Amino acid sequence: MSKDGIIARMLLAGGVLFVGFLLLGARYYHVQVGRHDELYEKARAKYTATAKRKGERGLIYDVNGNLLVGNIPCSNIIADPQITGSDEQCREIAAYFARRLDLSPTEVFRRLATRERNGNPVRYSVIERGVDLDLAEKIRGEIREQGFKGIFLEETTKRYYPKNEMLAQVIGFINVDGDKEVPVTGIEKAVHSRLSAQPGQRRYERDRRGVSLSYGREKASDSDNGFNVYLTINEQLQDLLEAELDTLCKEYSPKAAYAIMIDPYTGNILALGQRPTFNPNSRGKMDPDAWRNRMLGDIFEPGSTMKPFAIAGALDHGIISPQTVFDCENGRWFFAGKTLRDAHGYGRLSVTEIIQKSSNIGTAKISIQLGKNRLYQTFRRFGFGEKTGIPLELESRGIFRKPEQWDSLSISRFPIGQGIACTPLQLARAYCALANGGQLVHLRLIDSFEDPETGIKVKIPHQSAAKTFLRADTHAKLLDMLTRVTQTGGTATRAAIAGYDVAGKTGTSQKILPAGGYSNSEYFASFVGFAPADNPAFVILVTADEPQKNHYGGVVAAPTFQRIAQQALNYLNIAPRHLVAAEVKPVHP
Amino acid sequence: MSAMNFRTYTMDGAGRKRRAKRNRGTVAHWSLVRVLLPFFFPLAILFTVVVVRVKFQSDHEKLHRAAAHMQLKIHECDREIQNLNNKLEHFSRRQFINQQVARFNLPLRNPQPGQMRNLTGARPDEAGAGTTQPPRKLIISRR
Repeated sequence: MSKDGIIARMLLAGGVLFVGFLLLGARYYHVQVGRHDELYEKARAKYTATAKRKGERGLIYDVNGNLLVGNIPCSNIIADPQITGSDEQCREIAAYFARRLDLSPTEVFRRLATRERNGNPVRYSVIERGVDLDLAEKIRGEIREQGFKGIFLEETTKRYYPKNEMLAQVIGFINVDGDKEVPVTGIEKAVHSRLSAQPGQRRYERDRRGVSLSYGREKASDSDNGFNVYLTINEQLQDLLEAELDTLCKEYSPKAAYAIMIDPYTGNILALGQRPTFNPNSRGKMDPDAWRNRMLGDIFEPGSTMKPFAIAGALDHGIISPQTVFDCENGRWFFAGKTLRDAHGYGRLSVTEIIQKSSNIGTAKISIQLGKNRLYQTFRRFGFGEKTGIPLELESRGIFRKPEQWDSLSISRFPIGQGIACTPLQLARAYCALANGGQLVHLRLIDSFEDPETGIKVKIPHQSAAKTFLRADTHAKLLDMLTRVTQTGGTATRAAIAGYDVAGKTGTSQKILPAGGYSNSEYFASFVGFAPADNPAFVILVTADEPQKNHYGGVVAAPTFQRIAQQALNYLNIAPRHLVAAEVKPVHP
Repeated sequence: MSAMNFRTYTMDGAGRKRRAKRNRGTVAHWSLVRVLLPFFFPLAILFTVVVVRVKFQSDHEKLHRAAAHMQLKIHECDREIQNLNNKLEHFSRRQFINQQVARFNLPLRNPQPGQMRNLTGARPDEAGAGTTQPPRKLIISRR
């Protein structure tokens, strides 16, 4: 080949290469510059994953950090109907889950086989929510063994109440609607905004196995767990209080029963129990009537447990002294067109004896001397007719009319707890004032909130208490009278605790009939007391609604008070004031 | 000892030509190396850097994957711990403990008030350690 031929060929080859490079360059420019945004987005969409972070709902603890409400790790079983396979394979999967999780095979099959909804492909179908961790792990292994496709386990948590029925009405519960938590009652509802977690998400570039690339871009917004809540409840005291409520229910089969224990100096609610109750972990068996917090929302006529307040008013205004004597008319007294009766006929009784024996006539006569305005003001000072401030919903104010609305009978009936209604919490709070020397404390149920990230606790401050006694010596006089109630000759000798002075008052009130008037067969039997009387560790209220066999507060409620108080004093390590022969009982019945 | 064979060559004209040609080839090779060396050397360095970088990146990714795997394991352990804590709370209930005491007929009873005393004292390991912290409280049963 001639030299010119070679050069021509080289030029041709060079030209072709040049044009080729030119085209490649143009293509490169088109891809890298012209379609940069479009292709970059495509690539990013393919290799960018988004992980949603839900955060965890706050936990609820008792005052000592014992868990009352937790989150239990579990899994949702999810199917991607696009890859679960043929109908035959779906039937096989459905049969497996129906057997393993006790589900309807038809329903599971329907979920697996629904591949399209409203013209859109379905890629997320829930087979079962909240499968326990242990079972979920077993299922994961079995799915792998059997080679099922398109089944995933999605990590989640569900609300768990490890103490079952304990404190159920106070804690409440939540329902889950898809991903949304819907609080239904109790603390769960009252502080829902603080307990709720703030969701976050993480966008990251991943490799084909889904692992994030170390050099890839990452954008994360942190999820925040909800605040933990510490209640003033003491789990041990709560447990023994509820155990004794069960004993009361077994013995007297009341329609309902409740008990409250409060620290009279701080207003901290130490225990709060109610029967009937429910187990928030077993939703299928829940009776809506058992959800209601009767201690807060239900009102009842307190009966004789109101008497100390009327006496306190009269002592405060210097109208009476503990030794002042009143004629109790042998148990029948005609006043304002109606007969007022005592349970037993008494003649002349001192004020101390009026309280000790719970004379209605004596108390009514004292109140008449006090006058309706001063009686009204006394009751107001003890917090009747106002809310206690507990942060739970549907708290009732009770029924407490203004003096202008009183009739001629009111002044003789209100001081014996008729025609006036209060919540069990209002009554227990009023007794706190009797116990602590006359300070109407604000009740506390929530002690503090804790930020789970930092561990910083924010305590709910104590609110200043209002004074209830006008005279300094009223408390001591009243304390002496109330202590005699549990001593020989009193109405609540069954509330006495060997070695301790116990102060308290029984209450037996007839229930109001829907048609008007009082029932002769349905009663509230109550006892409210505190121990040790001179420096009380707690105030306890016990009430039985329609007890069977017996209806007297001194018979039905006082023994329950005694058992709760005895155990609580032991637990709180409060030694007896008086020497008693030690009685050793085994811990189990 | 094995015999050794030697062949001798006489340097004739053809031999000289071959040698000259070989020498010319060597010179040409050396000159080519001299020309290409400035190009090859940076390329070799670049190649080495790239290889080292790829190796480093690969190790980094491997470590990253191991870390992710470990994080997943930690997360699973956390969930398991959370699950166990819930179970512990369930079993630490007084009612449950009383049931077990009754079930196994254990000779236990509730303590009486005054049986427990709060004593303030230094732990043996803290005694004489010259610590400025206040001593921890010890709860000692009188039983």
